[in-house]
Amino acid sequence: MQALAGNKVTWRELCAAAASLLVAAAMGVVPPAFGQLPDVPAVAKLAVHADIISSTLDMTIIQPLQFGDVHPGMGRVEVQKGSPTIGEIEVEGAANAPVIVDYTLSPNGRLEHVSGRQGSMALDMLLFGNTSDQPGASSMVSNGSVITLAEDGRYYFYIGGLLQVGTLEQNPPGNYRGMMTMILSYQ
Amino acid sequence: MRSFRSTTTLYPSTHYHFNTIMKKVLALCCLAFVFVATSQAQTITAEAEVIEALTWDGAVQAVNFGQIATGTGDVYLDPNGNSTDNGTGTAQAGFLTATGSAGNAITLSWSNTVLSDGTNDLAYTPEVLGTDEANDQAGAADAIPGAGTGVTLNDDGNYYIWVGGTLSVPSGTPVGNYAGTVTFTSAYVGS
Repeated sequence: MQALAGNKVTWRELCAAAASLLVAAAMGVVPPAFGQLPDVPAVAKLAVHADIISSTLDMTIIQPLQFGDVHPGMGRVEVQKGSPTIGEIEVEGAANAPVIVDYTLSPNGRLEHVSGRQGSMALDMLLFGNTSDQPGASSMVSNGSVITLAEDGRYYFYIGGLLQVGTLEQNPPGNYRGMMTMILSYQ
Repeated sequence: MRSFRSTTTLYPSTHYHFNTIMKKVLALCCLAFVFVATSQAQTITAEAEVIEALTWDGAVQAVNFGQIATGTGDVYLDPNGNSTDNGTGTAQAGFLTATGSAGNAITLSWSNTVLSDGTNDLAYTPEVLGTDEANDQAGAADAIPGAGTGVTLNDDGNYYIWVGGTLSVPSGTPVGNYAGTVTFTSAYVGS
């Protein structure tokens, strides 16, 4: 007992040491921060764009298509994009806008005698286009296709064709005329 | 005298030695007990899960309404497609990917915005749809209406978001390029 009494401090030390070890052991099994979710949200910025363009498309006839004088029995007469008598239409709309092109030739794709006499000529239209007024560098534009206006919103159409001139009986002398209708719409 | 003194001086020394041994025995017993207890504690499973920080990974694709004629009115861009109902030109839905720890629940929020040409504003109401399926724009069906919508990251830790919406282009809107920014925020649920 005397010895034990003389060892009081040692017991405290032992208890303290034991407690420390128990706490240390406990610390090892208690997850202090495990499983915590990152509390920093992630942020992203998404750009949104819109190009507001003019609602109109203006067309100006620069020059009609002219086949000039033809004679009965000539057969096929062509006006190609290099011809000075090719028709021309200037378009003005929104810059770089895609535009759908539709056109028809009435009546029934033919030129008819202006006086109303019997006789008509078949015409296969040729449509060319360019973003600058350079017919020689223009490209074929098919019906229903989409063209793109230039940066200044302009576009140039050139209208040629293949005219079939018949015999005197089929095409008596006089003026023949047809009407081409072009419809442009933003895509 | 010397030996007596020696005897008398030796006795306490022997007693001290006994006490020291006892102390060590007791200490060893206590330490053994503590060690046993410690060993038992170490058998308890300790788990830790490393959670990846949330990010917005991959290509971010801007929302693009394309070209719209002034005065068109409301133009709707479908998040499930890349076309507008009455706009013009090439339109494109926006796209971005939230990335984090696979299978975890997150919340998604976004802020509204206007489109501006620097002077004039156009009202824009985003429509946000999500999916955990990669490359499935057409099938994205989870509506993400705005603040704090809960979704779950897929097994790859991704969640895919497609953005369309409605842009109002009233009559008299000046022509020009309009732009805005929608800010998206993702956060783990419980963080």
